[in-house]
Amino acid sequence: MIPVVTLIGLQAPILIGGSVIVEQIFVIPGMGLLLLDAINQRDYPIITSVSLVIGLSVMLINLAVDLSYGLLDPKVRYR
Amino acid sequence: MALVTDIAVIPAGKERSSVIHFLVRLFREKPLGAAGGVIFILFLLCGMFADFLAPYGMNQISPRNRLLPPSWTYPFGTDNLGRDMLSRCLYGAQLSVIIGFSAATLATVVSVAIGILSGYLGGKIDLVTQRFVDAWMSFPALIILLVVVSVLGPGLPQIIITLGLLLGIGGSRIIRSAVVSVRENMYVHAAQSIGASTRRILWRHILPNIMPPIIVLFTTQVGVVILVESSLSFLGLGVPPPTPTWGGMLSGSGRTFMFQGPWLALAPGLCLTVVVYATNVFGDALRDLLDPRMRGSR
Repeated sequence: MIPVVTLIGLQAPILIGGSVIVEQIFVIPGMGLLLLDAINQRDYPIITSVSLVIGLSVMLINLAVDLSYGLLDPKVRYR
Repeated sequence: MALVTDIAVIPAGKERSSVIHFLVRLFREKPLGAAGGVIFILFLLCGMFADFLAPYGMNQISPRNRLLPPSWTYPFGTDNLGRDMLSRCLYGAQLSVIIGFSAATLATVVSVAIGILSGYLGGKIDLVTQRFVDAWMSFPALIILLVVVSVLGPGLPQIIITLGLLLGIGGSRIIRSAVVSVRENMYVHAAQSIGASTRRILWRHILPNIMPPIIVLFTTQVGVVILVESSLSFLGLGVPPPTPTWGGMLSGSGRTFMFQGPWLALAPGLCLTVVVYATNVFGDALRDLLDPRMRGSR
């Protein structure tokens, strides 16, 4: 189970990055398209905030992955 | 005295025969990887000699011949402005070769520099560098790229530098692990004990021995760079439009005229798929042959 969960943490940034392309292809008004539009209009505050939110979410996913090791395997302890 | 020089001289033919021997092994043991290598070299030649190979100019329009299906005159068909798709694919290959090789070289140099220092010096430097690399790798690559390109503006040098740094910092992890395992070898300890300087140890003892992972890293990076560059062009942030790029051809006329002329999207898409697949297969085969530790693992 642990390797699978680790893989989730590694795949998360790729998935979020891929959302930009998918949202552009299917015109889904999500965060990826927001970022792309902001880039095309040189709207720096939105670019900054979108990248902040994405960075934060990837960080939280990785934190959740790390913490879930303790739940999945009682041998893992955090001090 | 004479004996010493006798030993030191390495016959010039020896080096060449080992390269041929390696190629024979590649073809015999990894036929798929060898096929990938052949396609890779073909792609390289197509890119280098695009100016001579292309039957028409890259932006030569002929409105009468627009949206023609593939034929003998136009092997890949023509697009909505009557431009020959084969020529455009060849010029796209030229751009991919330029970006792929320069960015992959930059990435390899950066990852070797970071990896070798952090792996050999160890201690606090290693700890700080690796946490920085961790932070860098956890962020989505495409987002960093989009943000940097939005700040610097689209253009060839920006893309090469950004892609090189982006992949180089991530790839330093592989080099570091190779350095850490080489560092504990007896000949490195011997060099340290006779008082060789750090620079000499890194240059003469560590670097030659981590060559296999460096070569493998380079070949895989080329494929990744081509793919990332085309997704960037697909989003309209790559090299500006009149220059044909595979990603740009897919997203521009390819997507608009997909139903009138499917070959508009198929030609660059197939080029991209075949080249990146060939690079990956070639890189895997090289890894299996050059790096005995990884042999058999897939």
